[in-house]
Amino acid sequence: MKDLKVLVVDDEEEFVSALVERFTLRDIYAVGVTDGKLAVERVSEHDFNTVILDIKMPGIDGLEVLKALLSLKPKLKIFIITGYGSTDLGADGLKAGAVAYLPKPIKINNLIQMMRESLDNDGESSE
Amino acid sequence: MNIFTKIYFTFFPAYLKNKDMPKEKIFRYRRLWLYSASITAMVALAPLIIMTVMNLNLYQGTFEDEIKSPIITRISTAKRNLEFNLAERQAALSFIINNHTLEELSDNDKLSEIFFHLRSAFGGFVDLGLIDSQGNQLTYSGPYDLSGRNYLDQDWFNAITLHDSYVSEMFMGFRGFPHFIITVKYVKTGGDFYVLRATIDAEFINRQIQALEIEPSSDAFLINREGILQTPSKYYGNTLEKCPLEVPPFTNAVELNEFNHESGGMFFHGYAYIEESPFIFMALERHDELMKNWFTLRSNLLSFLGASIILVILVIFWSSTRLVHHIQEAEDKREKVIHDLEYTNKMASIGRLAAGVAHEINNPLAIINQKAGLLKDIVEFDETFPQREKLNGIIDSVLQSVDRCGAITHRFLGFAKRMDLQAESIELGHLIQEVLGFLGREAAYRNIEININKSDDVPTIESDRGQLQQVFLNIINNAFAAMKENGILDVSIRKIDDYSVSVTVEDTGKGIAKENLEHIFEPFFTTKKEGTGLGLSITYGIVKKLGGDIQVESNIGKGTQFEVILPVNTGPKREI
Repeated sequence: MKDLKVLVVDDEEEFVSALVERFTLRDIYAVGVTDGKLAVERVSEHDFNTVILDIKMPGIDGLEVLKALLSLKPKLKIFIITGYGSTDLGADGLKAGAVAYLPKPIKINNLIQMMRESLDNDGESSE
Repeated sequence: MNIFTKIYFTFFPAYLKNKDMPKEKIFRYRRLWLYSASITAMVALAPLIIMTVMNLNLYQGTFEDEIKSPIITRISTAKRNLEFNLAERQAALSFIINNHTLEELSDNDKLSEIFFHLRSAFGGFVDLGLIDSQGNQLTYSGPYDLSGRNYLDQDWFNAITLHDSYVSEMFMGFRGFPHFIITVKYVKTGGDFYVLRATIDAEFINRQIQALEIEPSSDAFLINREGILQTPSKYYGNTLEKCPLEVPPFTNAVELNEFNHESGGMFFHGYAYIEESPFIFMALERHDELMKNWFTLRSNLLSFLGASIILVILVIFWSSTRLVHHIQEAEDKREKVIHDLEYTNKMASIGRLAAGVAHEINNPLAIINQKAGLLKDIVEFDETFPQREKLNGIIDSVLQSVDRCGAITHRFLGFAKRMDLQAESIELGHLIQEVLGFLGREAAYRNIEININKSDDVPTIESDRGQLQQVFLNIINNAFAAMKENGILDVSIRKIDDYSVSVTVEDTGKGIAKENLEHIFEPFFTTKKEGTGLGLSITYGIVKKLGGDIQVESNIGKGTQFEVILPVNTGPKREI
């Protein structure tokens, strides 16, 4: 079982900080950023294997960020979260390579379970 | 509405009287109807009536002419006959007086001989006398003893002194029966004269005249110029009585008039002056008997006209009703389209608003969720945290509230979201069975009878199974909720045309009030205590998105009927 290394990308500072702290409390390595450029920088600098990405942030095209992240690191597990109901954007994200699409509000324990499963499946199938 | 009322309304549409519609509509349709009916009636009936009246007049003229002409002929024949008879007798007397000397005529035997020949040659003569210029009867031949009479003071004698010959009126004279006389004068050289006088029996003329009374009701008689009857009249009395009819003005020809007899009938009244005599020939012919054929023809024509008018008016009423009905239908259709369009726009606006609100709330809600979750983590991970139990309880209730909010915002978003439709072949009967499968136990538990009617010609449709399940789940769920135990749910599936099918879900529930019916598809409109008011609005959104339509009818206390119309092939996708 690999360790989760999570990057949380959301324009809501409070949301990011709370989520990161909760991951940390559960002994999961997590870092939060509030914009897309920083997200790309962090991923290129550090060895994240999972990203939680709000696909709809003001002034930022979440889908472009998603594509940029995946082109940097194709094996990255990206979980899209959004406050919008628009499934089109979610579907586009899934097409572009995201693992799942989750509407807010999310339950952290479910999310962690999904991230673990996804990472384990990948490990099994690739090994 | 029974058959008779239906037929009645075919000719006299409801808006002519009732007040079920908005006032201005009734007024407009009524005016349209009246315009159409009256203009058509005028165009159709005026020529018919005018033609009939013209024909009637023409026929009447022809008829009257046909009746009048034989009467006129008869009167002129009578006039000529009478004139001829009088002239003939006058001429005979003239011949006698000119062809015999005074001596011969003064001889009683000779006069008797002449009278004998006269009587045998001409009928009607009663006697013959010779009178001198002093009025003394010189000789006399006849049945009465009139020798030696003096006629100087008699009217006729005065008249003959002035004229060469004279025909008198009827009078009684010395003889005591109606008669008239013809006299001729012979003027001797030197100015003195003598007169030959013959009496003619009135019967002689009576017979001729009565022969002219053809019909039992017709009357023919003579009057003189003072209006005294010269022969007996059927209607006006005996000879020498006064005839109440006005003496007609003089004319040489035959005149024919119509007049109203006091006995009540219409009569033709013809007359002719008999020349060289004081007589006027009068004839009365009963009008109505002669015109009987005409009256029959007229009443036939008029009843035909009446029947035609009634028929034409009925057809006009019917066609006007049809015309206005078509206009009314077109207008209703247009109104409905406009109304639907407004409704669709309204629903779209509400949808966008709901989505906006949901999103705005969702982000702060996510923060609350995570912060509360963090709080819970902190409390849970530290077993020595003071008042841990109580805090846990508080945080759980915050999280539960967040979940409730989340559920609502997700329904909002679901209501608003646009999805790619997953088109697949769907057999509607199976789909309804599936949906009922979800609810089956509830139906059995509450003893609700479920009937599914599906006509054989219903095709499978191309649509989104999940969405359709959602639609019918909502509708049937509502139907169950509206019914008490022992309710009946009827689902009928039928084909409308090659492009659309209809699914009708009918319950025997409590029904929806009229004022609520127009709001039931709006979000948050609910009459249930725990309802969100989103079920039917989502249903509406889905049906519209699938290119279909949904309609509802309801009777309080009797039940509600939802009809979902779906295209056989998924129609154009609509964004709600």
